[in-house]
Amino acid sequence: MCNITFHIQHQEAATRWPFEEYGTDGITKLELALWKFAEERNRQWSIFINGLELPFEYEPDLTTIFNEIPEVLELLLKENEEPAILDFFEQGTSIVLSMKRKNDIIWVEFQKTPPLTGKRFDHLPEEPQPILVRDFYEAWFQFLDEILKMLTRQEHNLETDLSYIYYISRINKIREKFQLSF
Amino acid sequence: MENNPIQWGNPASRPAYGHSQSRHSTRTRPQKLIDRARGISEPQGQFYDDMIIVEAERMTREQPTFGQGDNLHLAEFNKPIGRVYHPDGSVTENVTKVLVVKRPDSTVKTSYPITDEYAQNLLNQ
Repeated sequence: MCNITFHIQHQEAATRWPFEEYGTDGITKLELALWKFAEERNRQWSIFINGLELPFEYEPDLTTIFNEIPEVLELLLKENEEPAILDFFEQGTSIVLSMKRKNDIIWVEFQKTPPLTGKRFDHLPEEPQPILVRDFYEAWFQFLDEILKMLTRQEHNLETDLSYIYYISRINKIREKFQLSF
Repeated sequence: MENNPIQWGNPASRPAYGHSQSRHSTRTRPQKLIDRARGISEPQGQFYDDMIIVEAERMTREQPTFGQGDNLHLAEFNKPIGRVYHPDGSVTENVTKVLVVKRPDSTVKTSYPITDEYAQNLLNQ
């Protein structure tokens, strides 16, 4: 009844923009690799929550929340007072997923800011939606594994960069804690 | 892992100005913004000059938040600072307002030009 799934849709846009690096001073090699990947591939992805689709693009949406994912996964390993937040803040998306865990259920609230929030999110209800913790984590782990694998294929030296090592170490630690909890 | 330094005054600084330049700058190909506006049926703003990104952040430092969001600020330049591409293919030139989306630590997540009508809608919600 309660589940969350992530679909990486491989339909690429008709136009693929060559990557041009600007506006990237002070970002890590991992962030740069993700941006380059997202720009060049121009793919779409969706989060499905109990049959509700949240359609996103790699660029800008994945790049806006990528750094926040480990923190969200860490917070939701146990019940949390302060909500875990994924803020898809770019123009035309502008939607926040605010999440709280209670026992083995994560309750997701969709926070919209009209007219900034894209009209493609109009169908999302005001009531928080339940997600089974196991489904939530398994879907995120699978999604991140796929993304990180694609990034290391694209950037051959990425695996030895500290930003990549730090990110994947965090994810692996969360995965270990999650597995121990079940 | 240590964070990279915030370079105030440099619009290319991601830690300071977020996605403002990489998404909405003078260097962003117009067709890319046109395609996104049409694809998701939402307007897309583009700056005439990337230093407006820096100025908009400065102008909103002491400002209260704008509209419903607790992280939104509006910079009014009273002079043309950018354009907005609309989903129907039309373009509004010479817009004078910038929406600035900030983090709790006052660094910028993103900023972009918006029309007067859009700003009014945001205020009226």
